Amino acid sequence: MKVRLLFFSILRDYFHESEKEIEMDEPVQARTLFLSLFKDSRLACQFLRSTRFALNNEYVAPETVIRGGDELAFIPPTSGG
Amino acid sequence: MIQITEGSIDVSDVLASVADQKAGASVHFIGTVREEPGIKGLRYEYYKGMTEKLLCEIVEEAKKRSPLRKVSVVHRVGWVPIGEVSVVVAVSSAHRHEAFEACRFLIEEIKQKVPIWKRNLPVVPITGVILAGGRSSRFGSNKAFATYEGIPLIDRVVNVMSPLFQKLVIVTNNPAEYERLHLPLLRDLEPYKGPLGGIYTAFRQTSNDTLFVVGCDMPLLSEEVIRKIIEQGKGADAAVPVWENNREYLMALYSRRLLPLFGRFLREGRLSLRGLCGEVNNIVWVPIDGKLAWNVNTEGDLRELEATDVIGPL
Repeated sequence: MKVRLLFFSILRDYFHESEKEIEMDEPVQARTLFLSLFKDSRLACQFLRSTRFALNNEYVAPETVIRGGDELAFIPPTSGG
Repeated sequence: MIQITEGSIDVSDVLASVADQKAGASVHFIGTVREEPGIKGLRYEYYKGMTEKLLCEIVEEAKKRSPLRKVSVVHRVGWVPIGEVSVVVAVSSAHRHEAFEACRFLIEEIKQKVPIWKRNLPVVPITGVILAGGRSSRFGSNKAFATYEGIPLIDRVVNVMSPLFQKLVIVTNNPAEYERLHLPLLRDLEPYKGPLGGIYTAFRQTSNDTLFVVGCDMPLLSEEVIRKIIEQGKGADAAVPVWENNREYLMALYSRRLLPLFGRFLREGRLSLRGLCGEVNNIVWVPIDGKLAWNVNTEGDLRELEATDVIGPL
């Protein structure tokens, strides 16, 4: 199953990309998926603290389960205005 | 009125939109990009799918909290130069108390929840060059002014490039057409000698040692890819993006060390950038996602692109 990931702001800078599609074998929590993207686990935890998750355009809890076809966006602290 | 716009905000329009016979008060918040050392403006990045939806939800919430007559929120995204308006919140209500409170509530909620980010990335010490000298023979009319999602291609390219470069110039045979962009306009010294002549002109009429050159017909040009090419091209005489079997010489970095080579090619009547790059030893090929270098040759290309779902933030 495919999931589309979106990166913004500092996360976009960190990963050098704004979106990517990944292949998953089974449904997984948003938080687990996020952490698995990093090589450096300490850094991953730091980012995790300030990141919100949006599943298909809706803020969700980090424990929310992600399934095939979902669009998951990682939302760093916002600064509009 | 709830809107996200890439162009400048007409403040009086927004204020007028909350006028109401039964409102005794209207309160407006107008946010502008303030001057700070080392910045020319801010780039606002946003999550397209979610931003408008959240704005609507926040406005609904404000209306539930207190009796309001009308509410408008307009947020600008993309490149916003210093002094220009980035956001307007306007509220009208029967009495002032509710309007003040709601206006405050709205702007605080927007800052906290709506997926919009101010970006203030370092400016690179390179001159950006937009080549707009072409006759667009295949396109029929001037490609630079064809629109993609309502915005002229040249404006899109300027919006991506402005925040990035210390200096940005346009090389063209028709300066009058580009005056409204308020950028230095270099008249092609070698008119109709193609991009090679345009780059030659830019070297002759600017002082920077490095130029980053783009065409004006790339609707999907992105800041990341430009930064990547610049980063990987450090110290090289040229850095050109590659993908599959393609190379894009008009989204590339050229060092002033190549000026004599450009001069020689022009004298010899050789106008191929590909040919020229073939003679550069110290050249870096930078792998990129080809989609980002996609350029348009016909009006149909643009409409087709609008119809496909090319996502990605500004």
